[in-house]
Amino acid sequence: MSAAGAATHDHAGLAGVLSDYLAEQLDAAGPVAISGMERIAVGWSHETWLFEAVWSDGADEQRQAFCLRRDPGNALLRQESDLGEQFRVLKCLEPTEVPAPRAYWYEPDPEVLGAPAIVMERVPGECPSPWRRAGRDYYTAAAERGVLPASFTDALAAVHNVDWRAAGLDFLGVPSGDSDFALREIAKWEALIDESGHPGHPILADLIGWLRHHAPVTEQLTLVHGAYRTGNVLIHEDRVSAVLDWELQVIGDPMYDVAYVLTELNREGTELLSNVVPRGLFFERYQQATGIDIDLERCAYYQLLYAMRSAAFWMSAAGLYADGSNSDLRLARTHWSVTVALERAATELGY
Amino acid sequence: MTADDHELLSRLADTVRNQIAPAVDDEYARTQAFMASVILQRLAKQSQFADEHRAAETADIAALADQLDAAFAQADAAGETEAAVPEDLRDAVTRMRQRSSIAAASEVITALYGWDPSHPVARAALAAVRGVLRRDIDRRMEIAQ
Repeated sequence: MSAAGAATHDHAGLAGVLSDYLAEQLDAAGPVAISGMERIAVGWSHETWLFEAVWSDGADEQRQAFCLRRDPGNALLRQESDLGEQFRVLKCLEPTEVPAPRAYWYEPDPEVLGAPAIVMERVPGECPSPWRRAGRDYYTAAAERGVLPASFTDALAAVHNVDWRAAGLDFLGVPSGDSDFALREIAKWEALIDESGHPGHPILADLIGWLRHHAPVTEQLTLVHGAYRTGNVLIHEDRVSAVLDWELQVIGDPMYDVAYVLTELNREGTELLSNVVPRGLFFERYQQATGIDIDLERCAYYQLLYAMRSAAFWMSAAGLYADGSNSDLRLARTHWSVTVALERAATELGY
Repeated sequence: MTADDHELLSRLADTVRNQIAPAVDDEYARTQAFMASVILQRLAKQSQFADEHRAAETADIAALADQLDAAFAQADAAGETEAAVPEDLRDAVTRMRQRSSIAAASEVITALYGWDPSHPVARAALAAVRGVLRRDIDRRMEIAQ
């Protein structure tokens, strides 16, 4: 079933339009052969496709692996995750130390590739899911070898060390100071909740009231990834080869990312942060690499903000199924994930 | 829904999980079938607990409204509040009582934060509301897990 707004084309159809598109972009002398089309990580936001293209530049045969991301228009976080913005962020990151895929083309016209899309470099590496046993075993073994924990920490430090003004990232919006960053985030997720059509719950009203009342002053602004954890980074030979999922980035408090690394939500049955980094190593290496002191009080605040964000995610997801935009039953199931997120918030608020 | 509804939904969930899903070859469709089973199971529990939870919610809201009204009256009588309990808070409690719904506690909470959440009367009121919300979310977790 093709839900309203969903991207069109099956494997063969997409390969066909990609061939035409790349022939024009690459200025190929003749047709571009597309092979190995594979849709990966049946994600909740954008579609991700991997493929290889072979073409002639008139003199020699050229061959390159690409990654295509398409916005089906009916996915989770569609409001927060514009592909045009992602493309711009990736272009801004190219001259920086942040390991990120090189973005080649952004195609906003849904008629061309079936949906707005980005074509980018296919970075070598793998991205084991930390929510599966095999993934957790992978990270445990990598932690024992010792290279990935340092690389994972360094990649986050690289994000926070970006001179975001020089990189042109101020288009993301710059908080005005004081508590503006936290208040902006609260407002963003509150808007998503309102849009979801979910009836909500008084615990959410309590959580939002508490967050507004205790919003911390942001002393230092950096580029913030917004979802930095294993599962959102590509790993090659035990090193982070690319930070992925540039969907929630903002200019804000670096502790927002640090809190996400520290949270128990992103590790299961292990003391290793994000399933891979010993806490002591993370603190020492991150602080040394960034010159930023980790503020545990602010991290605790942001963990409550993540509880609100989780509730907003699940409300939005459940709403997508309820309003008929998306027929994926995983979204329908999240109706009850809202309850779990709110229970966690209640516990963290002390009741 | 009735007890029969609960049993029917539960049986449907079992059928989808144990007979239909395993017979589906396509991975995506199979996963969707398992999801359908999980959802049916949740709906079965929702149906099973509906009357019990509704009764508990009604009793909790009535008791909470009594407790808050009494606390506000006591504060008025003692004249111990630097600022009077705001009218919008009193009105929110009245509406919560009338609607007899946990959802209506949101308005009470918003009014409490809009007043002064550090005020002793507001703090005590918020603690009372939270006690009711704790019981409510625990009931909901019986279904969600």
